[in-house]
Amino acid sequence: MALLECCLSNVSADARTALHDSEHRVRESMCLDRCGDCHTGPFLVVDSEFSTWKTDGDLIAWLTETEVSEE
Amino acid sequence: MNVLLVSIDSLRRDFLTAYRDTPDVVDYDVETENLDRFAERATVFDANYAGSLPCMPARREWLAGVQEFLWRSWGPIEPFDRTIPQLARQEDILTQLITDHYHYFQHGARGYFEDFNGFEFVRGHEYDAWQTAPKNPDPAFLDQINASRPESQHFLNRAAYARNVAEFEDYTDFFAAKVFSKAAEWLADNAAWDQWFAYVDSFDVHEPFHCPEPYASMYTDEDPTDVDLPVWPYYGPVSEGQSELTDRQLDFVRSQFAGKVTMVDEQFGKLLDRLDANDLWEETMVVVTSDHGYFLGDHGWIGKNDPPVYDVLARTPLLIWHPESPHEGEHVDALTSAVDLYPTILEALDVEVPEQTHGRSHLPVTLGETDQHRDWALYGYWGATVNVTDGRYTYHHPDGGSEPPRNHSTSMVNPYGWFVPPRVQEDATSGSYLPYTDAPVWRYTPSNQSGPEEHLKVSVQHEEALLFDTERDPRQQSDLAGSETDTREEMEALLIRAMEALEAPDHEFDRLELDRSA
Repeated sequence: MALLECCLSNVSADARTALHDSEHRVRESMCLDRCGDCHTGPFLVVDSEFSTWKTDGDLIAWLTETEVSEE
Repeated sequence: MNVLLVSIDSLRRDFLTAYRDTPDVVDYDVETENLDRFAERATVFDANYAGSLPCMPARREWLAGVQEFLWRSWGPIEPFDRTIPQLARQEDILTQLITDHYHYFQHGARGYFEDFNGFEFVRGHEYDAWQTAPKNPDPAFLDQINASRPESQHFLNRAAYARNVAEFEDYTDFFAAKVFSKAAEWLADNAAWDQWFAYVDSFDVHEPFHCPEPYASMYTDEDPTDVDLPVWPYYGPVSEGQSELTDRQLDFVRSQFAGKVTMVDEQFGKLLDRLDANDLWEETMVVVTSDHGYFLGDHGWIGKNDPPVYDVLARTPLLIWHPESPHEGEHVDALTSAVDLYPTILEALDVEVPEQTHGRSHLPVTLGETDQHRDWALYGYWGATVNVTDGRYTYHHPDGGSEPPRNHSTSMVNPYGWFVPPRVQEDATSGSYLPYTDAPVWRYTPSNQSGPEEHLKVSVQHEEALLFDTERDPRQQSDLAGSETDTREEMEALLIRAMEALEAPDHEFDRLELDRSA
């Protein structure tokens, strides 16, 4: 189980739903001080590591794949 | 009467001897000789609370008298605001701003400096978009400020700070020294004017906690250039995630915060010396305050924004010198709010306070005419928990989740993600939605990367209501919400009365799942 930190200005409603449905721990923040990257596209901080995806769908797919691989 | 307003950003009041000998989070005294010197002649307010948080919302309270967080997030001065410099200039009072607070000049905020007759902007603090060279700053320092991708051209790259300070050599190159020197010079150079309002807005002690010597080594035996010791931690819990700090790192951050406090204090002393030298005390009201505090491991947090709004953030220092005050060095316990500074300053300037603003002048408290001021103070962030205090209890009522928060502004500003170019708010409607103006404004829920969002509950800060007795428990360690239910009900009723007094919108009551009073 990873700690996923996300920013309210970044994640879409679909991504938030996928995050909360995941097995991971999720911390939502008003601002993770990643504003420039946040402005550019979807991101999470995964166990302290900054990670980006091209699209919201890619982020949601990653969450789903992570679930599958853990099973 | 002149007015000199000095705000020192992120200044925790427990770091001031006027409020406490030893700060809560360290076991050493922090030198604040000049703020102490000022406190000895000032009225010291023991129950002063922030209002709208954080930085720019606080400045709109001070400068425009609007307690905005019930309606709006971080944003600009609005066309219907009547700022202190606007009103003062109508009465031929000179106005001046001296600051290193770069948020004035960044996406998300505008209109704050333009109203002053003059302004000085000391460049380079935090993310200020200033220097672009050297391309490759000192890698060790980049590690200390958590700038992991210096080559990125995205907005708000931490490497900007490393470039901004790359040529700094000693403390005189740093921000507080420049801000307070310029302020002292301004006082000396403008003695011929009949009346003035000067606002000295010091971004220090705000992070990065990058201190020059001697301040960097003043409160630690560590090597302040050790790459393992951060001077710019991420906000969040100290126990995990990108904000995780070891005990050694947290101790170091505290020492650098303390060093900055002492550095600012010494520079603030220049201003006091100038007031002495130019014999200005008898014709000048001097106000010293801060917008908010800063978590230094308190309650397990570093920074601000996401934790519950404990007193370490919200109960701010306020010290006022007025030549006709009988309270020389005395503490007063009247409950006051940040937004009260607006009418207080206008009254001291003998300028009429506009109707439909939210503050109440506490000049009568300073002048010894009363020891009572407010029954409640409201504070918080837009779209999050709404907090209320009666001066003893603090009650923190979280978002209920059933309604989205709505932002109101004449501009389409980002309610989250303040510092980047604004997004089009696709679901915005316009209308006269604000109780304190007939002006039409946009109303919208936050858009995201992909446009208007389905509403999901925002659960930052906390999920359940919190209640603290700050008289018995000043560090707010024991939540009484579950045990002192009568007090909780009384404080919830006080919150409702306070929101009704401000004519808070119906959707805020719905968002918080609060019923209006009968």
